[in-house]
Amino acid sequence: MKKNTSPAAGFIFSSIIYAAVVIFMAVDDLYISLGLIVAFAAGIITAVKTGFWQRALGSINDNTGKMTVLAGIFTLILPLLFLNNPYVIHIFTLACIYCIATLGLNIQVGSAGMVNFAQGAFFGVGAYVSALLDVHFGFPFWITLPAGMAAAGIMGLLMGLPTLKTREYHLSLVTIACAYISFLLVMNFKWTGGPDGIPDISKPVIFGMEIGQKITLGSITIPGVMTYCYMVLAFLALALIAARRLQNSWYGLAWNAIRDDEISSRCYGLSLTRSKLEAFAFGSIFAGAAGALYAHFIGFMSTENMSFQIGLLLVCMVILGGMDNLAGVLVGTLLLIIIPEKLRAFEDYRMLSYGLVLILMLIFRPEGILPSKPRMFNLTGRG
Amino acid sequence: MLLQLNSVSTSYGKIKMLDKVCLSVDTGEVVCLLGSNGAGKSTTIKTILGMVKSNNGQILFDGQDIGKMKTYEVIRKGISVAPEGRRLFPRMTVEQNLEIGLAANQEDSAELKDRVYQLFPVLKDRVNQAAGTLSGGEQAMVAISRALMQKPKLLILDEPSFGLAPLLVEAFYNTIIEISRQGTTILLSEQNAGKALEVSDRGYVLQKGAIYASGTKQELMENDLVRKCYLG
Repeated sequence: MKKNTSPAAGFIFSSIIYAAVVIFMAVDDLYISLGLIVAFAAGIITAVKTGFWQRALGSINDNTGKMTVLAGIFTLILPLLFLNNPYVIHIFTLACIYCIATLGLNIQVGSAGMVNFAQGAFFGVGAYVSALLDVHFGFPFWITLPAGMAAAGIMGLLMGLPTLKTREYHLSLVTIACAYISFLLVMNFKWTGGPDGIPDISKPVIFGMEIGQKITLGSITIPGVMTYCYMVLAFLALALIAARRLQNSWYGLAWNAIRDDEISSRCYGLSLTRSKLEAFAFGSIFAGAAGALYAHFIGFMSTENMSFQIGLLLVCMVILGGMDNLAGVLVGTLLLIIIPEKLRAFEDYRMLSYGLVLILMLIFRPEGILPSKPRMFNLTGRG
Repeated sequence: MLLQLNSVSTSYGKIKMLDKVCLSVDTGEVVCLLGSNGAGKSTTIKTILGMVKSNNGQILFDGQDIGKMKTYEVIRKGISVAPEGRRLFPRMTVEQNLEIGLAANQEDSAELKDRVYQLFPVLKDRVNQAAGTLSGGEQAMVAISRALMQKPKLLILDEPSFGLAPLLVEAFYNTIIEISRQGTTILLSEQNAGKALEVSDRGYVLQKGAIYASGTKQELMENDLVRKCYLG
């Protein structure tokens, strides 16, 4: 099946995109940002029209290994380019945290075909459990993080139960209800801080070093976000590996099967109950990890960050990027975090722009920026 | 008896679909289930699989009562089915479609795949093609192959020849005979009564949800009503 496309096209393409992203992040004038977006869109349209886009994507697909290394290097360098601009690193870190949540959501929305609007709630469960354990009991981050993940996983299982009897639109409605229930519960309980949220969440500590503290090395000052950013990148790498392995495993095959045809899946001995609950549990564990990372990053957690809006936003990211395509999910998440952040002056129109982007995407490219590839991984030889 | 239905009744809400159906399949047999549209063939199969629950009666498979089991548990007992309308996973490759068939049978797949490719050599060239892009005949082959991957004790085929050209139907039934010869018991649901009876040892005729006639191939072929209604 291997085609021998040279990696050159993919390399040039990725470099151009990377340069564009870096320039975009570095600019802080609103009108220049808008101009860049227009220029970028025009560039993409030209690339598609001239066939360069397809050639580049083909080249990337054929050289996955090299391209993964390249993307890794690009990502690692990115924070270093903004040593003097901690704000950009802050946004980038946030985007990476959301990437972990959308990788989880992709299991449900992309792989298993269950459009779940409650991922924001699972994100909140992870964040709140981790934050409460930290603030009230003083547990270190390395205990509160797994606790948050576990709690989110259990919540995912519990919320998965009422959705088992439902499908498609009805399932989405159930998840919306679940999102609102958890939001209102957290809002109204006393021990969660209610509408005031939880302040003063501590930063993680590794080998006695607090992550997120400024480090001064001679004349160079490394901003605090930088260290947190690299920690989040490490977690994102783990999340990516986990997501990739799940996708290629028997779980992933079963999820794709129930997405394509539930009756047929039952006919071949798949337990829909088990597969769906697994999708919910695994997906929520990702969200829980993202939530915990978020709470300790910002140092403050409130219900605003686990509302239905967040769930909606996460679904938008997955659909925009490309369902069931991990790279696509990452691209979608980065776009929807970074662009609105750059257009802060239009804050009031942010949701409007999400709506617009979604409508345009669904009309012109319903399969997302990077559509999912047919599964090529075979389970042959499984003992 | 491998499979036995003792006066099984099923209803969708208030509508009675099956009325005291008694049916049995012995190891090694090919048994066909005949009847026109809406006679209850598919409902019978769904009831056996536990997709529809029977109101009363008993369903025994291999001596065990499977009437209350969930579909995937029934499948794991050794029944596999090529469902009506094939229902392939269109976006997956042929090979992955086959691997889904392993859900109930966690054995090494290489040998099972070889067997399937021997039965349907065409599929070997189509391994990495998305199942949705295959022709109708090839899709029908994948549907049966997928069911065979489970090494079933009983293979249920629900209208396997639906939508196939007459010439293909002929070849297809030859393959069904071959599968049976290799030792798989088959329950075959068909509207094409002539063709189905040809390959079967015994048959049942369903009408309005009840068994209307039953007997060996010979008996059914000679039955006046069966001939008038189904054989033309």
